[in-house]
Amino acid sequence: MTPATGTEDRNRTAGSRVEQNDDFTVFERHLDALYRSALRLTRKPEDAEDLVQETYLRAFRYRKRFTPGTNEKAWLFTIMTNVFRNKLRQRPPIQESIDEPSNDAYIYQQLEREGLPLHLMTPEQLIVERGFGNEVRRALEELPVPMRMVVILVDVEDFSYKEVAKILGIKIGTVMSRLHRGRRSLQKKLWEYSGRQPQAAAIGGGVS
Amino acid sequence: MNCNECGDQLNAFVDRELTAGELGEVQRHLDDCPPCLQIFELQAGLKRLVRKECCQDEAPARLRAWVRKLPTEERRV
Ligand SMILES: [Zn+2]
Repeated sequence: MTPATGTEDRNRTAGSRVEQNDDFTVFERHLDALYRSALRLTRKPEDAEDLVQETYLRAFRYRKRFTPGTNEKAWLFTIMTNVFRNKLRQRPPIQESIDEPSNDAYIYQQLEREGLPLHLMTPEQLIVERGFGNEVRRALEELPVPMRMVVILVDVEDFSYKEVAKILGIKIGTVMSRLHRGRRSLQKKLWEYSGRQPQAAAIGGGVS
Repeated sequence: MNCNECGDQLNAFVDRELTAGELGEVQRHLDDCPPCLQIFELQAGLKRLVRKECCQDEAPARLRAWVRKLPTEERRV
């Protein structure tokens, strides 16, 4: 990380700087966040634990590179996503595909084709009460890694597009397109996991 | 703003990534366009759902204990 250049920072003595960097409790605060994201990335509790441990080990060893007062959560996620990508590179590549519908209202269209009165339902009723809720984590875990990472960082961890771009070392436009594609694919997976068959369009485009 | 333009901005709108001006334009379109409003509600609902479901997982106590001990253990090395 780049060193801070603010006057406040320069006025601080070297000693207090080291002390501040040595306070590791600020990093522990983000353990649940790192773990739940690690779980979505690795899909297995034991692998998630390994990933989080390696992340904290590196964070501790490189803690002096962290600029106090900057976003420590983003810093930890930068480390974790890098460690994760390195681990993936060491394994035989897995073919990941994305099954992405061509618009953003897939679930609505499917329900409409089942003849449901959509105007009487809130999105929560549609999604949760119709059994999509339980399958969210599974659906997310099946997204290809690049899209999964962006959806996790934006939707679960609440990072801005700019922060995600910095964490993953990609352009903001890439963040947006991966997010868009990831969300479309997620809708389709949720629909399928809720035990339904895709409904063919009434007129054209469908296969019967 | 037409429906296509609204659709292009909807993800950024849901994620609160638009400027005040852009936000107002999307909001005005949604106020007058029930189909786009419905897509917005679906997107916003899915986002809330993903967050809620994923936030149920907490780090195991064993891992938390390991992280707490890490500074002491590492300094000993
Ligand atoms: Zn519209």
